[in-house]
Amino acid sequence: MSRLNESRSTTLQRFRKLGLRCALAPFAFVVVLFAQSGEENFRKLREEMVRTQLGGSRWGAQAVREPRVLEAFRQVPRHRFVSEALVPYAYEDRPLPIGYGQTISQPYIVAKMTELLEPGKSHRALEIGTGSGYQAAILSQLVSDVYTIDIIEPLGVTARERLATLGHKNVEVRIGDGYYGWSEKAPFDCIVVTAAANHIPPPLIEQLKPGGRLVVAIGNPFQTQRLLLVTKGSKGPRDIRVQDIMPVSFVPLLSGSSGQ
Amino acid sequence: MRRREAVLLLISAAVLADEVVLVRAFSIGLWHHFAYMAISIALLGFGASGTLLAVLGRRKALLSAQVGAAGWLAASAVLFALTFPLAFALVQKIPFDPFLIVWDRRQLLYLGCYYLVMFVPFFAAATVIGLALITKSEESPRLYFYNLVGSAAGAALAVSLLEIAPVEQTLLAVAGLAQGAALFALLDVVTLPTSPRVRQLAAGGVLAMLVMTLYFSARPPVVRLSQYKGLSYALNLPGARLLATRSSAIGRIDVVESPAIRQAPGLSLVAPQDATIPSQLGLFVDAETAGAITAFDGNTSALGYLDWMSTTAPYLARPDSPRVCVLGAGGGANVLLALRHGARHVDAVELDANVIRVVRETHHNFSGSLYDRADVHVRVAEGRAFLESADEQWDVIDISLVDSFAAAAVGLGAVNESYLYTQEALATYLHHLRPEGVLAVTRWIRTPPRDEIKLFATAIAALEGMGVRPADRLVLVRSWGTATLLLKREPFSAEELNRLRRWAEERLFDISYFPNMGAGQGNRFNLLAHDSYAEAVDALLAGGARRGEFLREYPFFVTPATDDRPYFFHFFRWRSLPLMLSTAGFAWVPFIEWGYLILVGTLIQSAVLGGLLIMLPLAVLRSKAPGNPRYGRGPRLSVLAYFLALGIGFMFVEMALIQRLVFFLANPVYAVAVVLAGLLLVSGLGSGWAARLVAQGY
Repeated sequence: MSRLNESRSTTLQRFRKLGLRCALAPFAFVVVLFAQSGEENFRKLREEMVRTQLGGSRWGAQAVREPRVLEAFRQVPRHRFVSEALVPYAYEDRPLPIGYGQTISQPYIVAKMTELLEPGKSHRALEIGTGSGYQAAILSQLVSDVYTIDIIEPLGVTARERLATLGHKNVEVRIGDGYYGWSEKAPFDCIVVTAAANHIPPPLIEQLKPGGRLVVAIGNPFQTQRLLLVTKGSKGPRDIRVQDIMPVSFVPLLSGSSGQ
Repeated sequence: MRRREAVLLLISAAVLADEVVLVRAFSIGLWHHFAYMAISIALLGFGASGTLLAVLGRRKALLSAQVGAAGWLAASAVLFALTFPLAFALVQKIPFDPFLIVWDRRQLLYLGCYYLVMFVPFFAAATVIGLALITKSEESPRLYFYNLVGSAAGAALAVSLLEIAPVEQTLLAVAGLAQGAALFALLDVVTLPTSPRVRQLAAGGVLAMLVMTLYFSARPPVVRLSQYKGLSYALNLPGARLLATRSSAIGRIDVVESPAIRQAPGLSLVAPQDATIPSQLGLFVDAETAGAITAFDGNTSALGYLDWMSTTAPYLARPDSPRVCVLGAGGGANVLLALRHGARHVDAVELDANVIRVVRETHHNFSGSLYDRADVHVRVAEGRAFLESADEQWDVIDISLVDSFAAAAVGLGAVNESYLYTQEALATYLHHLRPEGVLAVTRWIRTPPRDEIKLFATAIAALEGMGVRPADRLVLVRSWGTATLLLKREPFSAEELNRLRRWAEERLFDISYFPNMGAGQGNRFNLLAHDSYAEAVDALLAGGARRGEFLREYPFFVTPATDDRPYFFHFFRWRSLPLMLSTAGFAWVPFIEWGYLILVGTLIQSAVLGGLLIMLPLAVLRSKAPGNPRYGRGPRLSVLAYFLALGIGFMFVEMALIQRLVFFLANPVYAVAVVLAGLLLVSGLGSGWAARLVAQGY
């Protein structure tokens, strides 16, 4: 008898579950539909961002042109790297705060820095200043391995979880002082340093491969005024050149001043 | 002195002191450009209060009854006493951040909230002053005397208090003045034959002030720092510890310890491993990075990293430099550099005594008693003023990175006077050099170049003023991050130039200019797609029409600053703006001197709020009383013109005096205090004298 009751109760539970599922199915369908249309919207926003902010003519000679870099920006969901309150602004042409006095740089600056690195599929990249993890995610689409270091623990932990959730398996996050680079994983083909102010750590230059490229943004992310590209030649440790890359085109103004 | 006059005196003192306190608080928490906002908020409050009094004036009964006028006055005084510290505490909760202002439209809303919250106490105080003057208009000269003398005392008192207490405590002390005024005003009411309800209200006011005083005594309001200021960032670093904080009217000094703090501006990319940076403590002025205090045990051989920065250049030109003068000594990095290069007498000149104190007292052992050494002579003075009054000569005069990277990067000094980098200043420095001595000025590099080019132009003007050929006496060394300009009274010798070139090449520094240099030699390691330095030095040294054309056409204002126009940091040209915007829209914003941007933003905001709170109510008032001669066009226009002219004239005299006194007093804070207090005091004395004349029937 008790077995019969048990069986009845199990059957009842199954029916209930089935009923619940049937009842919830339309809602779930709507949610998925919304999510899909939301993702579709974000995909359109990314496409628009790539078209107008990165590759648009407004940047003149400074436009980002490397197709692989542009494709990476189409793939990585920038809105997943900001807080919920800032999602509506994720694809705007502006830096966004991520807490602890740090920011996710404006898309153009991230793209320009990435392009300057000339990342290759077999390259190994080091990033100093993980922040939200967005730059690391972009690099992970372009190189073989990404090593990223952030000195602020809560940022590093969040970025690590976020990158894992989004499936960026070739990114390793370390929490610590990026000044000394990551000697165990050195040398690197490309190194990116976000928001340096008073000096570029010499250990990073040492960990750069001959032929490697290091890009550093100088100043506060809200006022990125200079991008420096450091290239290391193959003629020895002193074969180093620094190029001052202006994130916006000054050519019309400066040409005017020199009478060209 | 009657109670009413005491109220006027205390309220006026508190209002002026409040403005000074806000200027300091905004400088610490935000940027010092928002300090101007304090003045515009105060004036907005005064304007809106004038409108209110115009409305009240229509209802004569409200003001004519003795208790009515005294009641309004007391209510306004209590409102001021209560809202003054409350508004200060409240604005610290508003998430306004100047760094976000061009990116986030909500920031304008937050800025508007700042205005509205801070507006209330000034509005209340202005109402007290206005009521006192309206209700006894026949005694206005005498009342103006108390108003102006009180204001003068307030300015002097605030600066004095800020010398000895942090801004938060100064605020509470000034709030005490406001409460004193409110108590006198309440006493004035309750001594009149009034209803019990009025007395109850008065008692309520006293109780509210008491509660507020107790609350803020236990939990004083704290200035909220922008999370993007250097100090906030440093405190987020692992193991960060705030070791010391000192305040004065000049600024707040903070010292932070963290193993991740390292200051080596423009360090060569090929600095060897043995040139490691010793332990350092971060030094912050008004929460902005201002160098570091470096661990020093008396052994200068451990300071090898210093030789890998462009600031070392003068010691290559002048290896035997027994006498060195460091202007803007700060935490002592360049004093250490001088000692490392064999200086036997270093004059360390620093404007802020608190900087010296934290090195000398709080971090005595850490800094190796740097400022107590027999060969280091500390001079608490402004750099230019010190040299103007000195009779000595030096082998090296070093002015390195006096302003912080953050302040320089965003062009915060754009509208500030600076007598440190004028043509006359450089001439003064050159006169204080020994015949073979070197003057070195180091600045942060910005893109496109401006500071170094303006400095180069100023140096040429100074050397030409001395009747010597500039082309032989200048060298410009450029690392990736800093540029050092060297000037000599005598031409550089071939040996000095060879030494400098070898040294620079070893460090991958470019020499953008040296005498008789060939084309393309200044752009070898730190490559510019467009070598503006080469073009600039060519045009500037060519002189004549070519120099004039360059100075006119360069996108930034690089004409030399002079003592008459001491705006070295003024680089922005409005006429470049259309081209900037058409080239890259808002991407240009970071390149604009933010000083201007903030001032224009503040002007727009205060004009809008002024229109809403002052002009609009007056317009409505006039439209409702078209037949009232009191609001007729004729008399009002003449009154407007009179007071407009008076106000503008007063402000012009005040600004001109401040600008000149900054030079003579060698300190902007003291200059403002002296001018404000002095002008208001003599204006008050003038009113007092006028009152006597009126009494005598003149």
